[in-house]
Amino acid sequence: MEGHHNYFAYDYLVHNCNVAASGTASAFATSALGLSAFTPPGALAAGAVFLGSSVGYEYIANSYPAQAIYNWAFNKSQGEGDSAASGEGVNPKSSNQMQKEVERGQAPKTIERVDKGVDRPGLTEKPHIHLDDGSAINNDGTWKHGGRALTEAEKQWILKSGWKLPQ
Amino acid sequence: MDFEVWMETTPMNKKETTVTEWVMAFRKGTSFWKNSVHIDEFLGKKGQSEVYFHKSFPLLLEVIDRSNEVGLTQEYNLCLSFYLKDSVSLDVSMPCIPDLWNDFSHTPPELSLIEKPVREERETVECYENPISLSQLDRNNILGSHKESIAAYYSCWRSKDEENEDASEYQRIIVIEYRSK
Repeated sequence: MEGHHNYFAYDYLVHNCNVAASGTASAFATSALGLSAFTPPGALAAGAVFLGSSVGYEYIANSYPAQAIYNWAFNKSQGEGDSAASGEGVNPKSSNQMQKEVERGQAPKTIERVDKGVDRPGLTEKPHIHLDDGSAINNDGTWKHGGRALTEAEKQWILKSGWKLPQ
Repeated sequence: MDFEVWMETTPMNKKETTVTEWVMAFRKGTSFWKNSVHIDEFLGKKGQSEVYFHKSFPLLLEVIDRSNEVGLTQEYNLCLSFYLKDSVSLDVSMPCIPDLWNDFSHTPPELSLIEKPVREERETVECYENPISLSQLDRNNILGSHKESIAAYYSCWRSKDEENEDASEYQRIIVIEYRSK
Protein backbone atom coordinates (compact mmCIF):
# COMPACT_ATOMS: atom_id res chain seq x y z
CA MET A 1 0.00 0.00 0.00
CA GLU A 2 1.37 3.39 -0.85
CA GLY A 3 1.88 5.81 1.98
CA HIS A 4 -0.57 8.42 0.79
CA HIS A 5 -3.40 5.95 0.99
CA ASN A 6 -3.20 6.17 4.76
CA TYR A 7 -4.62 9.66 4.44
CA PHE A 8 -8.11 8.15 4.46
CA ALA A 9 -9.09 5.99 7.35
CA TYR A 10 -11.65 4.13 5.29
CA ASP A 11 -9.14 3.22 2.62
CA TYR A 12 -8.75 -0.36 3.64
CA LEU A 13 -12.10 -1.49 4.76
CA VAL A 14 -13.69 -4.86 4.52
CA HIS A 15 -16.89 -5.35 6.35
CA ASN A 16 -19.84 -7.61 6.09
CA CYS A 17 -23.08 -7.32 7.88
CA ASN A 18 -26.27 -9.19 7.44
CA VAL A 19 -29.58 -7.45 7.34
CA ALA A 20 -32.74 -9.41 7.23
CA ALA A 21 -34.38 -8.79 3.91
CA SER A 22 -37.95 -7.68 3.93
CA GLY A 23 -39.72 -9.46 1.15
CA THR A 24 -43.12 -9.08 -0.32
CA ALA A 25 -46.03 -9.68 1.95
CA SER A 26 -47.37 -13.16 2.09
CA ALA A 27 -50.73 -11.98 3.21
CA PHE A 28 -52.64 -8.77 3.21
CA ALA A 29 -56.03 -8.17 4.63
CA THR A 30 -58.24 -5.17 4.84
CA SER A 31 -61.81 -5.04 5.91
CA ALA A 32 -62.23 -1.50 7.15
CA LEU A 33 -61.97 0.48 3.96
CA GLY A 34 -65.67 0.29 3.19
CA LEU A 35 -65.05 0.14 -0.53
CA SER A 36 -67.23 -0.98 -3.33
CA ALA A 37 -65.97 -3.96 -5.24
CA PHE A 38 -62.57 -3.42 -6.79
CA THR A 39 -59.62 -5.39 -7.96
CA PRO A 40 -56.18 -3.87 -7.55
CA PRO A 41 -54.33 -3.84 -10.86
CA GLY A 42 -52.21 -6.93 -11.15
CA ALA A 43 -53.27 -8.39 -7.84
CA LEU A 44 -55.10 -11.32 -9.31
CA ALA A 45 -52.49 -11.86 -11.93
CA ALA A 46 -49.92 -12.01 -9.18
CA GLY A 47 -51.68 -14.88 -7.57
CA ALA A 48 -53.90 -13.06 -5.14
CA VAL A 49 -57.06 -14.72 -4.06
CA PHE A 50 -60.07 -12.49 -4.01
CA LEU A 51 -62.47 -13.16 -1.15
CA GLY A 52 -64.76 -10.15 -1.30
CA SER A 53 -68.01 -9.41 0.31
CA SER A 54 -70.14 -6.30 0.20
CA VAL A 55 -68.57 -5.06 3.44
CA GLY A 56 -65.02 -6.27 3.59
CA TYR A 57 -62.43 -7.66 1.23
CA GLU A 58 -59.51 -9.87 1.92
CA TYR A 59 -56.57 -10.45 -0.33
CA ILE A 60 -54.05 -13.19 0.08
CA ALA A 61 -51.20 -12.12 -2.11
CA ASN A 62 -48.39 -14.49 -2.81
CA SER A 63 -46.15 -12.04 -4.53
CA TYR A 64 -47.93 -8.74 -5.02
CA PRO A 65 -46.52 -6.16 -2.58
CA ALA A 66 -48.97 -5.48 0.20
CA GLN A 67 -47.95 -1.83 0.30
CA ALA A 68 -48.85 -1.38 -3.36
CA ILE A 69 -52.28 -2.88 -2.83
CA TYR A 70 -52.77 -0.80 0.27
CA ASN A 71 -51.74 2.42 -1.49
CA TRP A 72 -54.09 1.72 -4.35
CA ALA A 73 -56.96 0.90 -2.03
CA PHE A 74 -56.25 3.89 0.16
CA ASN A 75 -56.22 6.26 -2.78
CA LYS A 76 -59.48 4.82 -4.01
CA SER A 77 -61.06 5.15 -0.61
CA GLN A 78 -59.91 8.75 -0.38
CA GLY A 79 -61.38 9.55 -3.77
CA GLU A 80 -57.98 10.46 -5.14
CA GLY A 81 -58.50 8.66 -8.38
CA ASP A 82 -56.39 6.03 -10.00
CA SER A 83 -52.95 5.65 -8.50
CA ALA A 84 -51.44 5.75 -11.97
CA ALA A 85 -51.92 9.52 -11.93
CA SER A 86 -49.38 9.95 -9.16
CA GLY A 87 -47.14 6.95 -9.61
CA GLU A 88 -47.93 5.89 -6.05
CA GLY A 89 -49.14 2.38 -5.55
CA VAL A 90 -47.16 1.20 -8.54
CA ASN A 91 -44.39 -1.13 -7.57
CA PRO A 92 -41.30 0.97 -8.42
CA LYS A 93 -39.01 -0.50 -11.00
CA SER A 94 -35.30 -0.58 -10.45
CA SER A 95 -33.04 1.54 -12.61
CA ASN A 96 -31.73 -1.69 -14.11
CA GLN A 97 -35.19 -2.76 -15.21
CA MET A 98 -35.82 0.64 -16.73
CA GLN A 99 -32.45 0.70 -18.48
CA LYS A 100 -33.27 -2.65 -20.04
CA GLU A 101 -36.49 -1.16 -21.37
CA VAL A 102 -34.46 1.67 -22.87
CA GLU A 103 -32.10 -0.82 -24.52
CA ARG A 104 -35.03 -2.86 -25.88
CA GLY A 105 -36.69 0.23 -27.32
CA GLN A 106 -39.60 -0.05 -24.89
CA ALA A 107 -39.06 3.43 -23.47
CA PRO A 108 -39.76 6.77 -25.19
CA LYS A 109 -37.05 7.67 -27.67
CA THR A 110 -36.26 10.78 -25.67
CA ILE A 111 -35.03 8.69 -22.75
CA GLU A 112 -31.28 8.35 -23.14
CA ARG A 113 -30.44 6.09 -20.24
CA VAL A 114 -31.26 5.26 -16.62
CA ASP A 115 -28.44 5.39 -14.10
CA LYS A 116 -28.31 3.57 -10.80
CA GLY A 117 -28.17 5.35 -7.53
CA VAL A 118 -24.95 5.38 -5.55
CA ASP A 119 -24.98 4.94 -1.83
CA ARG A 120 -21.44 4.97 -0.58
CA PRO A 121 -20.00 6.95 2.32
CA GLY A 122 -19.72 10.50 1.08
CA LEU A 123 -20.92 9.68 -2.40
CA THR A 124 -24.66 9.56 -2.75
CA GLU A 125 -26.78 9.79 -5.86
CA LYS A 126 -30.38 8.94 -6.47
CA PRO A 127 -31.33 6.67 -9.36
CA HIS A 128 -32.00 8.98 -12.28
CA ILE A 129 -33.12 9.20 -15.89
CA HIS A 130 -31.10 11.07 -18.50
CA LEU A 131 -33.18 12.72 -21.22
CA ASP A 132 -31.87 13.34 -24.69
CA ASP A 133 -31.63 17.10 -24.21
CA GLY A 134 -29.16 16.78 -21.33
CA SER A 135 -31.66 17.04 -18.49
CA ALA A 136 -31.74 14.36 -15.83
CA ILE A 137 -34.50 13.61 -13.36
CA ASN A 138 -34.18 11.70 -10.08
CA ASN A 139 -36.56 8.95 -9.03
CA ASP A 140 -38.11 11.23 -6.43
CA GLY A 141 -39.09 13.78 -9.09
CA THR A 142 -36.32 16.27 -8.37
CA TRP A 143 -34.12 17.44 -11.21
CA LYS A 144 -30.52 16.29 -11.17
CA HIS A 145 -29.57 18.38 -14.19
CA GLY A 146 -31.51 21.08 -15.94
CA GLY A 147 -35.25 20.66 -16.17
CA ARG A 148 -37.95 21.00 -18.80
CA ALA A 149 -41.58 20.11 -19.44
CA LEU A 150 -41.86 16.38 -19.88
CA THR A 151 -43.65 14.94 -22.87
CA GLU A 152 -46.79 12.91 -22.29
CA ALA A 153 -44.93 9.75 -23.29
CA GLU A 154 -42.18 10.48 -20.79
CA LYS A 155 -44.70 11.14 -18.03
CA GLN A 156 -46.56 7.93 -18.69
CA TRP A 157 -43.37 5.87 -18.75
CA ILE A 158 -42.10 7.41 -15.52
CA LEU A 159 -45.43 6.85 -13.76
CA LYS A 160 -45.74 3.33 -15.11
CA SER A 161 -42.32 2.68 -13.61
CA GLY A 162 -43.49 3.87 -10.21
CA TRP A 163 -41.20 6.91 -10.14
CA LYS A 164 -42.36 10.40 -9.36
CA LEU A 165 -42.90 13.33 -11.67
CA PRO A 166 -41.51 16.80 -10.97
CA GLN A 167 -43.86 19.03 -9.00
CA MET B 1 -21.28 35.08 -22.17
CA ASP B 2 -22.81 35.36 -18.74
CA PHE B 3 -23.68 31.95 -17.40
CA GLU B 4 -27.35 32.72 -16.77
CA VAL B 5 -27.77 34.13 -20.29
CA TRP B 6 -26.00 31.16 -21.79
CA MET B 7 -28.18 28.80 -19.78
CA GLU B 8 -31.37 30.53 -20.91
CA THR B 9 -30.48 30.86 -24.56
CA THR B 10 -28.66 27.62 -25.32
CA PRO B 11 -30.64 24.44 -26.03
CA MET B 12 -30.07 21.85 -23.35
CA ASN B 13 -28.41 19.38 -25.68
CA LYS B 14 -25.91 22.05 -26.74
CA LYS B 15 -24.89 22.81 -23.21
CA GLU B 16 -21.66 20.89 -23.21
CA THR B 17 -19.83 22.63 -20.47
CA THR B 18 -16.29 23.39 -19.61
CA VAL B 19 -14.71 22.73 -16.29
CA THR B 20 -14.29 26.43 -15.66
CA GLU B 21 -17.95 27.13 -16.40
CA TRP B 22 -19.06 24.36 -14.12
CA VAL B 23 -16.79 25.27 -11.23
CA MET B 24 -17.56 28.98 -11.48
CA ALA B 25 -21.28 28.37 -11.79
CA PHE B 26 -21.18 25.96 -8.88
CA ARG B 27 -19.32 28.53 -6.82
CA LYS B 28 -22.09 31.02 -7.63
CA GLY B 29 -24.79 28.48 -6.89
CA THR B 30 -26.22 28.67 -10.40
CA SER B 31 -25.06 25.43 -11.94
CA PHE B 32 -27.83 23.34 -13.42
CA TRP B 33 -25.43 20.40 -13.38
CA LYS B 34 -25.37 20.90 -9.64
CA ASN B 35 -22.65 18.90 -7.93
CA SER B 36 -21.86 16.33 -10.60
CA VAL B 37 -21.18 16.10 -14.30
CA HIS B 38 -20.72 13.01 -16.43
CA ILE B 39 -17.68 13.00 -18.65
CA ASP B 40 -19.77 12.92 -21.83
CA GLU B 41 -21.36 16.22 -20.77
CA PHE B 42 -17.92 17.81 -20.65
CA LEU B 43 -17.03 16.38 -24.03
CA GLY B 44 -20.33 17.39 -25.59
CA LYS B 45 -20.65 14.14 -27.50
CA LYS B 46 -20.93 10.43 -27.01
CA GLY B 47 -17.73 8.49 -27.04
CA GLN B 48 -16.24 5.12 -26.42
CA SER B 49 -15.58 4.00 -22.88
CA GLU B 50 -11.85 4.01 -23.55
CA VAL B 51 -12.03 7.66 -24.62
CA TYR B 52 -13.99 8.52 -21.49
CA PHE B 53 -11.40 6.78 -19.36
CA HIS B 54 -8.44 8.61 -20.84
CA LYS B 55 -10.20 11.99 -20.87
CA SER B 56 -11.17 11.63 -17.23
CA PHE B 57 -7.74 12.28 -15.78
CA PRO B 58 -6.98 15.64 -17.42
CA LEU B 59 -10.55 16.70 -16.63
CA LEU B 60 -10.14 15.78 -12.97
CA LEU B 61 -6.84 17.66 -12.89
CA GLU B 62 -8.56 20.71 -14.34
CA VAL B 63 -11.39 20.47 -11.82
CA ILE B 64 -8.85 20.24 -8.99
CA ASP B 65 -6.93 23.26 -10.23
CA ARG B 66 -9.98 25.42 -10.90
CA SER B 67 -11.59 24.41 -7.61
CA ASN B 68 -8.42 25.24 -5.74
CA GLU B 69 -8.31 28.65 -7.43
CA VAL B 70 -11.78 29.60 -6.25
CA GLY B 71 -11.48 27.97 -2.83
CA LEU B 72 -14.01 25.22 -3.44
CA THR B 73 -11.69 22.53 -2.16
CA GLN B 74 -11.88 24.00 1.34
CA GLU B 75 -15.51 22.94 1.41
CA TYR B 76 -15.65 20.07 -1.05
CA ASN B 77 -13.84 16.89 -1.90
CA LEU B 78 -13.59 16.05 -5.58
CA CYS B 79 -14.43 12.60 -6.86
CA LEU B 80 -14.01 10.87 -10.18
CA SER B 81 -16.18 7.76 -10.33
CA PHE B 82 -15.87 4.91 -12.80
CA TYR B 83 -19.09 2.90 -12.78
CA LEU B 84 -18.46 -0.78 -13.42
CA LYS B 85 -20.79 -3.56 -14.44
CA ASP B 86 -22.82 -5.15 -11.68
CA SER B 87 -21.83 -8.47 -10.20
CA VAL B 88 -24.04 -11.26 -8.91
CA SER B 89 -22.07 -11.69 -5.72
CA LEU B 90 -19.72 -9.68 -3.55
CA ASP B 91 -16.82 -9.30 -5.93
CA VAL B 92 -13.63 -8.98 -3.90
CA SER B 93 -11.34 -9.47 -6.86
CA MET B 94 -9.84 -6.28 -8.17
CA PRO B 95 -11.00 -5.13 -11.60
CA CYS B 96 -8.63 -5.56 -14.50
CA ILE B 97 -7.02 -2.14 -14.47
CA PRO B 98 -5.11 -2.09 -17.78
CA ASP B 99 -8.31 -2.19 -19.80
CA LEU B 100 -10.74 -1.03 -17.17
CA TRP B 101 -13.04 0.57 -19.75
CA ASN B 102 -14.14 -2.87 -20.89
CA ASP B 103 -15.72 -3.27 -17.47
CA PHE B 104 -17.61 0.05 -17.57
CA SER B 105 -21.36 0.05 -17.14
CA HIS B 106 -23.56 2.12 -19.45
CA THR B 107 -23.07 5.12 -17.14
CA PRO B 108 -20.18 7.36 -18.21
CA PRO B 109 -17.60 8.31 -15.58
CA GLU B 110 -18.64 11.20 -13.40
CA LEU B 111 -16.98 14.09 -11.62
CA SER B 112 -18.56 15.17 -8.37
CA LEU B 113 -18.08 17.82 -5.74
CA ILE B 114 -18.78 16.23 -2.37
CA GLU B 115 -19.48 18.50 0.53
CA LYS B 116 -17.23 18.06 3.54
CA PRO B 117 -17.40 16.38 5.96
CA VAL B 118 -20.04 14.04 4.53
CA ARG B 119 -18.54 10.70 5.26
CA GLU B 120 -21.05 8.97 7.44
CA GLU B 121 -21.40 5.26 6.99
CA ARG B 122 -24.26 4.25 4.75
CA GLU B 123 -26.25 1.22 5.65
CA THR B 124 -25.48 -1.53 3.24
CA VAL B 125 -26.11 -5.21 3.41
CA GLU B 126 -22.63 -6.14 2.31
CA CYS B 127 -19.72 -3.99 1.31
CA TYR B 128 -16.13 -4.44 0.25
CA GLU B 129 -13.61 -1.67 -0.29
CA ASN B 130 -9.98 -1.89 -1.19
CA PRO B 131 -7.45 0.78 -2.13
CA ILE B 132 -5.91 0.95 -5.57
CA SER B 133 -2.59 2.54 -6.33
CA LEU B 134 -3.25 5.74 -8.24
CA SER B 135 -0.31 5.01 -10.49
CA GLN B 136 -2.08 1.87 -11.70
CA LEU B 137 -4.99 3.94 -12.97
CA ASP B 138 -3.22 7.13 -13.98
CA ARG B 139 -0.42 5.58 -15.94
CA ASN B 140 0.56 8.85 -17.59
CA ASN B 141 0.91 10.44 -14.16
CA ILE B 142 -1.42 13.28 -15.08
CA LEU B 143 -2.46 13.69 -11.46
CA GLY B 144 1.08 13.25 -10.16
CA SER B 145 1.37 16.76 -8.73
CA HIS B 146 -1.61 16.08 -6.45
CA LYS B 147 -1.00 12.46 -5.59
CA GLU B 148 -0.41 13.16 -1.90
CA SER B 149 -3.98 14.38 -1.66
CA ILE B 150 -5.56 11.69 -3.78
CA ALA B 151 -6.79 8.24 -2.87
CA ALA B 152 -8.30 5.65 -5.15
CA TYR B 153 -10.36 2.71 -4.14
CA TYR B 154 -12.51 -0.06 -5.53
CA SER B 155 -15.85 -0.80 -3.91
CA CYS B 156 -18.45 -3.49 -4.34
CA TRP B 157 -21.64 -3.40 -2.33
CA ARG B 158 -25.24 -4.38 -2.12
CA SER B 159 -27.59 -1.76 -0.84
CA LYS B 160 -30.61 -2.31 1.29
CA ASP B 161 -33.76 -2.79 -0.71
CA GLU B 162 -34.62 0.85 -1.06
CA GLU B 163 -34.27 3.65 -3.57
CA ASN B 164 -35.85 1.33 -6.13
CA GLU B 165 -32.67 -0.62 -6.66
CA ASP B 166 -32.36 -4.34 -7.10
CA ALA B 167 -31.25 -5.68 -3.77
CA SER B 168 -29.95 -8.85 -5.40
CA GLU B 169 -27.39 -7.01 -7.51
CA TYR B 170 -24.00 -5.84 -6.37
CA GLN B 171 -22.80 -2.48 -7.57
CA ARG B 172 -19.16 -1.93 -8.38
CA ILE B 173 -17.30 1.32 -8.64
CA ILE B 174 -13.82 2.77 -8.70
CA VAL B 175 -13.45 6.19 -7.12
CA ILE B 176 -10.55 8.60 -7.28
CA GLU B 177 -10.94 11.16 -4.54
CA TYR B 178 -9.12 14.42 -3.98
CA ARG B 179 -9.08 16.14 -0.61
CA SER B 180 -7.20 19.33 -0.01
CA LYS B 181 -5.04 19.28 3.09
